[in-house]
Amino acid sequence: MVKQILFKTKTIVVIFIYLIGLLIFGEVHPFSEFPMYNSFANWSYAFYITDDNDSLIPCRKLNTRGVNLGHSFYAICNERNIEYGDGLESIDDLNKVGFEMMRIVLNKPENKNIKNKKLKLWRNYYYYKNDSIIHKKLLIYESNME
Amino acid sequence: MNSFLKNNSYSKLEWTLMKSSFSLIWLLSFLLIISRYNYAPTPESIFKLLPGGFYLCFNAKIFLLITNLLLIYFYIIEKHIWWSLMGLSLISLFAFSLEDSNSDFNRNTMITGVFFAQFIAYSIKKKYIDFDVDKYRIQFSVQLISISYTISAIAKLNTSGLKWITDGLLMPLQIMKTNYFGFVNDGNLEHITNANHIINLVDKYSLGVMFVLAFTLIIELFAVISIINKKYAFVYGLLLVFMHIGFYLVLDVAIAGTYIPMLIFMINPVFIFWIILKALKNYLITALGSNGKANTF
Repeated sequence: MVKQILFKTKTIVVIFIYLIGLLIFGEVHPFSEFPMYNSFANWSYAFYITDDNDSLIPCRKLNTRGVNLGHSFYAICNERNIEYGDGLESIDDLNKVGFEMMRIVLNKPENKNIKNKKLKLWRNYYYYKNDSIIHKKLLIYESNME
Repeated sequence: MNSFLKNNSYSKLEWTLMKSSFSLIWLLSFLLIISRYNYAPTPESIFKLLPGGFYLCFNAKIFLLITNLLLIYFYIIEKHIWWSLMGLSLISLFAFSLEDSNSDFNRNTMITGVFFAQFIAYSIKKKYIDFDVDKYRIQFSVQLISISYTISAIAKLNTSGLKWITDGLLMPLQIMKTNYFGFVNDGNLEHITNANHIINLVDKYSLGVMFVLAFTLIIELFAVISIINKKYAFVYGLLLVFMHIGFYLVLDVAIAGTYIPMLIFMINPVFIFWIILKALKNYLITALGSNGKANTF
């Protein structure tokens, strides 16, 4: 009986198992509904880190990537139930999230010997207004390294 | 070339080349992860189940690496393959969950998924000896890959509906973001120039952009038809390659964890390269042979 069902459904059995897994576990590796670019919202964020002179420190030098800074922002907001997007976070929330983001970067063993006195974490906020892209930058956290 | 597509079964060489390419990609991903991450600061997947903090020490990394190398070896030489695939599935689950737990979402679900799909095929074979594992270890992988694309399209329709196509005109904001990530990574202003250039093109050809997005949605939605047979998988694989190239050119986004397994199990480029080399060799032998005859006369 089991064999008959298995052999008859063999061309779709993995699809079936994957869908059941996705329904039960949701967005948990290795199940995913690939949520990136599911919608095109009228906002986007990019994050970057500068030194005390407000000059960009390339993420490579900090052993991270721009996309990782973005992902950690969303992961921390989700974990702390902070609503995000379209510039609606409070300064206080941004500061807390910024602290966590910077902690993740600085906790990397390769970043133990950073020489900068200060590291600043910025958020770029892009949105459309009257067919033009508006760009707002905001300092969300400042880390004193001394 | 045509004969390999007409035949709906897979040769041992095709399978070996698929396995070898896939193992190489897996090994590189694994090395990258264990060299980068020791902690799980934003726990995801299985790391949500672990109580307290997590730390992957050097010795544990060496143990994982040796185990992984052994399992890959057994997987390629097809010895203890059921155990090898179980081990590889679990290590892959662990490694990519660790990567996700560092907010490094590279969407590698297909790599773990393919190991599990092949493990399922060998589990069925273990129980039912007449199961055609030579075909279904690959067909199961194609099932996993194709349903992932279809789910992605359904998720787009579920979140945005058909408006996803017209909302695509807000894509410049994403283009700006992804290119800015590039600038933030290396400090090269070329990324920003590139973003402005693409945004101008999107603004200029908005109808074309909507057409491309509609095309993308349709390709993703019907990806599941790749499971019909090998020929469908190959042709559909090519369509998906075009889609990924488009994504890379416009959004500067290349999701290796998605397109590489698709390339390997739906198109198998190393095998195609081998066919071309073989055809070239045959051609040269024939050409040189006839020249030889001409010289004799």
